[in-house]
Amino acid sequence: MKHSLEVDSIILEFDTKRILQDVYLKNETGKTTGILGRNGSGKTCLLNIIYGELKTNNKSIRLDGNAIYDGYRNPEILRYLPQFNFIPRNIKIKRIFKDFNIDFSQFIGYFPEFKKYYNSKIGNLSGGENRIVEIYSIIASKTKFCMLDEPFSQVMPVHVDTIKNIVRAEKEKKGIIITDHLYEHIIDICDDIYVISNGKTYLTQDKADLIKHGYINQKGSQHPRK
Amino acid sequence: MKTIRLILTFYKSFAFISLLITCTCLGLLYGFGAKGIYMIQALFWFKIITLALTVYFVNIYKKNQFYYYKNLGLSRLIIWIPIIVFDFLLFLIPSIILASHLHETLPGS
Repeated sequence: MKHSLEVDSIILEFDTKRILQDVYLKNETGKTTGILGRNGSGKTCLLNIIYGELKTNNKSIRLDGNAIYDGYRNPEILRYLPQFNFIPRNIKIKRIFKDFNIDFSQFIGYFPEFKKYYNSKIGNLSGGENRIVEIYSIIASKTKFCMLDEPFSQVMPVHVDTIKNIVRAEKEKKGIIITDHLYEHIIDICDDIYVISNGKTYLTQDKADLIKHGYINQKGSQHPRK
Repeated sequence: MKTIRLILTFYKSFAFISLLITCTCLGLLYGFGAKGIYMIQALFWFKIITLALTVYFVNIYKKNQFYYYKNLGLSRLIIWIPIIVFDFLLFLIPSIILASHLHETLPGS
């Protein structure tokens, strides 16, 4: 069954500074939606508002047209990967897969080198390995929508490609919202991309729109070599 | 069952310090013998204050971990309420039993 998640009418202010206004975002089952924006533009705040973690006076979040208030209250509807490590370090990998009701053998299919960690505590894994387990537990678990905040950070390039394949496979069953500064990967896997600029969301068509909104420059992210 | 397991996992991360405070309170109550009964009010408030401080600091230092439980359907409130009730009862019930025992040993009772 196809579901849709719509977000609008969000106003977020810190003291007198308005961070978000005139936001509109839509995600559907079978689609991956990307959110790009400069540092401090309010990407993470937007995800936190959708999840119900950050309270605002104005917001309208609708699942199939019906308002939802605190997304975190129902993981069957929405799960959220924050940009920091969130799994308690003393929990074993096998326990994480049991808690999220996901298949470890399928995970091994994507990341064979993790087989040896089945009985290990997540705290014994490296930062990148830890992140991969966290990303997979959110993407692969049963839910209608999932939001991923900077999933590609800390992860080595070969695993980034695997994660992109997982996203492509999982979006058949759910809607996925991603934000990350590695925008080339976002462009590669997303069906829709919104840019947050001056607190507003703009649906982009191509790279030229990213340049127009000041997210990338004309030369992309090329750095001069020494 | 899964909810209880998750709450216990969270409780385990600071249970040692909490149980140490409870044992200290009960030890003081027992150690003072018949006079210990006069300390029960102070120990009662000591336990409440230390429990409040524990909740405050755990909320700060483990704030990222709450996302794990939230992704599994457990809000902060669902986690904290049973833990606070259980931890306080773990102090209160032995205290009452010990106090009633000490009351019997008071001269003239």
